[in-house]
Amino acid sequence: MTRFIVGRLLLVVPVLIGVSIIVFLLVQLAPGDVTSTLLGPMGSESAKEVLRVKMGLDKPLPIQYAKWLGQILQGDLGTSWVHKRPVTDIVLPKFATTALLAGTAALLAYLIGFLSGIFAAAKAYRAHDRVAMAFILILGSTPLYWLGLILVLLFSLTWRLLPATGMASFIGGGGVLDVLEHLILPAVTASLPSAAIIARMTRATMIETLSQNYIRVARAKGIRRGVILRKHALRNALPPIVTVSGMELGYLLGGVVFVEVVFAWPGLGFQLYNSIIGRDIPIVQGAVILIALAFVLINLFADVLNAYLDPRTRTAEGARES
Amino acid sequence: MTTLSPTPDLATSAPASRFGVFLRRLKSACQTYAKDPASLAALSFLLLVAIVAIFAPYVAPYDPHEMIGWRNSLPGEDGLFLGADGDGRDVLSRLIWGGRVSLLTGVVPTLLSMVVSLLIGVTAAYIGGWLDQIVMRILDMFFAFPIVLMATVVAGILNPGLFTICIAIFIALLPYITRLVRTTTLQVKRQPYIEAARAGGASNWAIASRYVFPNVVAPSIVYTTTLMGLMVVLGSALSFLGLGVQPPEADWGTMVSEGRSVLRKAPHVTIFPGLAIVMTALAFGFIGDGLRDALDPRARRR
Repeated sequence: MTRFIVGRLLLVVPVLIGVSIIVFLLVQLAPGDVTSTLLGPMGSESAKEVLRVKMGLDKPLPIQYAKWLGQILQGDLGTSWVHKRPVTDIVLPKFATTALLAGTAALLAYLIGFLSGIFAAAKAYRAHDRVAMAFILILGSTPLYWLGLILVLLFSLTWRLLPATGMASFIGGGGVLDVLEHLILPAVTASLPSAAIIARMTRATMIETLSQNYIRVARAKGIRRGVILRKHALRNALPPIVTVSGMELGYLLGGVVFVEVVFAWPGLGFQLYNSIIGRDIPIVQGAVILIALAFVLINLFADVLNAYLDPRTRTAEGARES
Repeated sequence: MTTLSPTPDLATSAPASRFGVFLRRLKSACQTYAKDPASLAALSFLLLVAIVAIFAPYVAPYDPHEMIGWRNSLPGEDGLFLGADGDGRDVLSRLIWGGRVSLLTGVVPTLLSMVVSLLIGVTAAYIGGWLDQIVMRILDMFFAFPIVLMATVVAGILNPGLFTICIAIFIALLPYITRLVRTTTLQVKRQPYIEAARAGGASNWAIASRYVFPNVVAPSIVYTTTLMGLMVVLGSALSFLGLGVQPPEADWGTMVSEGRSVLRKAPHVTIFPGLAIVMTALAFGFIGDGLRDALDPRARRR
């Protein structure tokens, strides 16, 4: 088990180097000259030239990359062009806010997805299952931002039950209950599409597991349905569900951009959106690296959890195939 | 591989008419597809949407950019079937014109991505060795990014526009389709009929083009079709963020975004384009399921 974890950790290193290369190259796609973005249209050619040398932009790309990577490895993500503050100071607190939203959404998604998946599998191909599947299918095709607006329309504008935007009220806000109240709508919105995918996966895996011979034997022995479902089938069905759940948490971190924009949730996604619109490249880079890092670590954790649940996947090859 | 054997080249000898075989298979696939009412309905719906979008200048009742009714007219008022938006423009006409952009962003970059993925994936997996290793490592790097984030950042860094959204979707999808193509190619490569063809003296190129490629294309088409629906959703999401076509041009995502400011007074401006996205995406999903049954009998649903 230790060997597996160490091996898997070593695999992460080249991936993270790749992440840094991609993020670095992505920025090279940006049209226009960086210095004219920074100095504005009134900047003189000589001022641009000075800045270019100061920022090291006159050097070849590999050297620029090496310098940039060196800074990142020391925990320095650069300075925001708009806010003139270190990127880490801006991005890290936002990440915590996003983690609160994404974490809550993930918990909701697991709960809803897992339970409805098992329920649907236990009653496979009957009316309940069909209705649940249709619902799951529709949710899977629904744009996150639109779903959020519809929920705002219903719960905030029509029934006036929940606040539509922000993380705390302007007057006397900021308490735990207040934040919780603001959290409900965005978290539910973010969770539903993931819940749909997890439910579909859980249902498919459970149905397949339930058709195995050892389940038939257990049934022939007269073991009760509930016990078979819980003790025999579930454990064997878990690994693929865990993998998908890990990926879903990562996708939540990516998709949360739209939810945060709709609900004006002051997290990393909202910040990323504002920085994209404001062309604040260092923050875009920092936010993307942070999300990618979280995504890689979450998937790593899912792999390790799987290795614990299913010893067959404890080889590098097994982990790759699963 | 060249063959010196004088025996007839059994494995590679073409049937009387290759085209005839293709037609027969196509017919059988169409018959299987037609048996599934859901996929048939989805296909009809999508064709209808596509035709209406293509002929938008003739079908749309009004100019999508012009103020036709009162601001925020509800559906049915002012003689506008789906009402007017916050600027008094006809929602139905904008929906019809917007369908052009939304279908385009769903279909074109996804298809292009499939073609390039097929080239990369089949080549890498068929040749194998270091080439395959390099391709795999590069893919691993891309899988470190959630797909939505990848598309958003690529679209965000380029100048906003329709072309930008297409590029973003194309890049974001490439690793996913390539992975599927590669895995499928590896599976096909191990099949006995490949060995038979090799034993029969078929050249590498003949095996790759006649036996491997056709067997990899079918699952790729199925996967790509399902992805198209998701890309209609993703493309509209990028437009919603303002990274796609710019106002006053209509697109289902921009329409939702414009409807946001009048959500309380005129919820229909937001609701209808969203419904259009959901139904289109669903239709692509059903078509994908139908195609899977028709093209890939082994993966047939129960």
